[in-house]
Amino acid sequence: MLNYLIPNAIEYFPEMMKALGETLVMVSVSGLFSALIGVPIGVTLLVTSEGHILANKTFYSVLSKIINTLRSLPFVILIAAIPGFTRLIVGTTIGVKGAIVPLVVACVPFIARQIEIALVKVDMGVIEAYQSMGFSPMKIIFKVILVEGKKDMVLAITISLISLIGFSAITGTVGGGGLGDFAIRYGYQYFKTDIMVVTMIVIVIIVYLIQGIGDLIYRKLSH
Amino acid sequence: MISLKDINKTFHTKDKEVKALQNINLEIAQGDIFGVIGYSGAGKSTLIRIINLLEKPDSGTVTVNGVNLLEIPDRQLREIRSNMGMIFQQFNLMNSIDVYNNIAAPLKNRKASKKEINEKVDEMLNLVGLEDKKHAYPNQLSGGQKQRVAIARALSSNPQILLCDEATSALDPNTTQSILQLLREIHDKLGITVVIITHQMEVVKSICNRVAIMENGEIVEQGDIVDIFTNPQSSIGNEFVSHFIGSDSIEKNLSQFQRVVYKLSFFGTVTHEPILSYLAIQYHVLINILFGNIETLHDTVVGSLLVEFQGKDEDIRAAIEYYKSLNTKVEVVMNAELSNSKRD
Repeated sequence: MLNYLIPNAIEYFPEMMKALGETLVMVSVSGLFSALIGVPIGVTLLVTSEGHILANKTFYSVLSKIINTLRSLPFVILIAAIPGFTRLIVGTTIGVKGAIVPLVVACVPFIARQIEIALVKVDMGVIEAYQSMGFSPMKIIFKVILVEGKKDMVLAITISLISLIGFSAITGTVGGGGLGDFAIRYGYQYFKTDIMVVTMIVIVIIVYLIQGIGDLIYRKLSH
Repeated sequence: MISLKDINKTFHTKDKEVKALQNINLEIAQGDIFGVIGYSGAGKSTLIRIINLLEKPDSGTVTVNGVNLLEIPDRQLREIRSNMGMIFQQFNLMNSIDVYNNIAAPLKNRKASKKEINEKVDEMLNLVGLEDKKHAYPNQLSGGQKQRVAIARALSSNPQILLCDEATSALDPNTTQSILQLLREIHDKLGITVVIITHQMEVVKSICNRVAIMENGEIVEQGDIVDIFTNPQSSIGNEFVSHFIGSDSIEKNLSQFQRVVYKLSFFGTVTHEPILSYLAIQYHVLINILFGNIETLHDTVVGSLLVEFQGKDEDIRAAIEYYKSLNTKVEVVMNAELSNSKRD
């Protein structure tokens, strides 16, 4: 039955598993690094914005403009624009390794903005209460903003991971591998439609899983 | 204990300037329950934030316990802040942590030991009557309970001063009374100095011993609660008092009376005496009471009556002279004969 319905997908199953593995590695590794860099930048954006605990108009506007500029570059152009930087960091511009650097560069500004938006929801009144107790700005960030905002940060990171899956599919075009590359090569160029369909289903399942886990953690953190 | 001198603060928005505070001078003594009352936008919230420097004044000095807060480094300011508890209209608890951890926050900030924190949190929960809510989350509590947690949090670091910013404005009348009673108990028990910002006369009346009235960023009058209540000097002070005791609506309808209407204000021991009966018997005047109100202010009973006298003119005059000699105040609020004769 399956042989009849999706013959190619079954024939190329090992390749598909390899591509799935590559996608998962790309998304998780670049997601991890993007969060490690993006979250502090997002927090910095928030606390330096107008009326916040470390408000600094000039600093905020410069940082904000850098983020906006990076976010406005289409990802496929970004990959082509920074091979020198990519080689400097990981020593190659191709394969999963070569894909991770542009993925991080693209994802950091995205996560930073998402985190800023998530943490804006932390009530300024609560922050003021902790200022009135004599908390330093650093303590307010770690003991109040990050604690109170963590469930919304989970949602922000979930959204970022999902858009990373989209980005990672594009890296196939520059030899990055992964499910996007697999679907284009076999499904599109070799006209094996069943491979295209199965790959899409796999990607949809991954997205649903990530979103589901994100929502689950959000609910666990909500009181 | 708290001294504000010549404080000015202006907020600049895009197209206008708002003078939030103008030439504010205020002295709050240790052990006071000091009320600041005014309508919305009078500058009260800015004023209370000046005391712990959540807002920096444009000019003037803020002195707490002899230290000028504007001259000390941030680190020292934070230390002084931790010696002043503050509660808010919207409670401002952290929703993601439970009651225990909310109350423990100021203690953790000054690195108290686990044992010390446990003991103090229990003591505070006992003080505010929420022993059974130790591990509840703020969203599971009612408004009044949240404010109790906020009070426990504010007091857990043993502050000498408690700042209350519209602390009862989001609560219903019964809960307001229970929170005020709690503040009074805490004040009496711990000897803490309390500063209360409010637009509710009821709050000031229930627990303050001193009060300042604010309008348009200025303090229009301040003093002992009984003085302000029985003899307000400013028009807004009058408004607050007469609106609160409910005589304002009566005063508007006085034109229907043919004679002179007097407002008798009295307080202290006089309130225990049957003065009106005495006047009636001794001076042969008949007294018609149009309105009456008796309030307990802090520890003093204060009354206010609108009356008309019937009888011979000289008897009425003698009765009023006697009444005035009793540490009371008499004013004419409506004089129909006078205004009629003017019209003629």
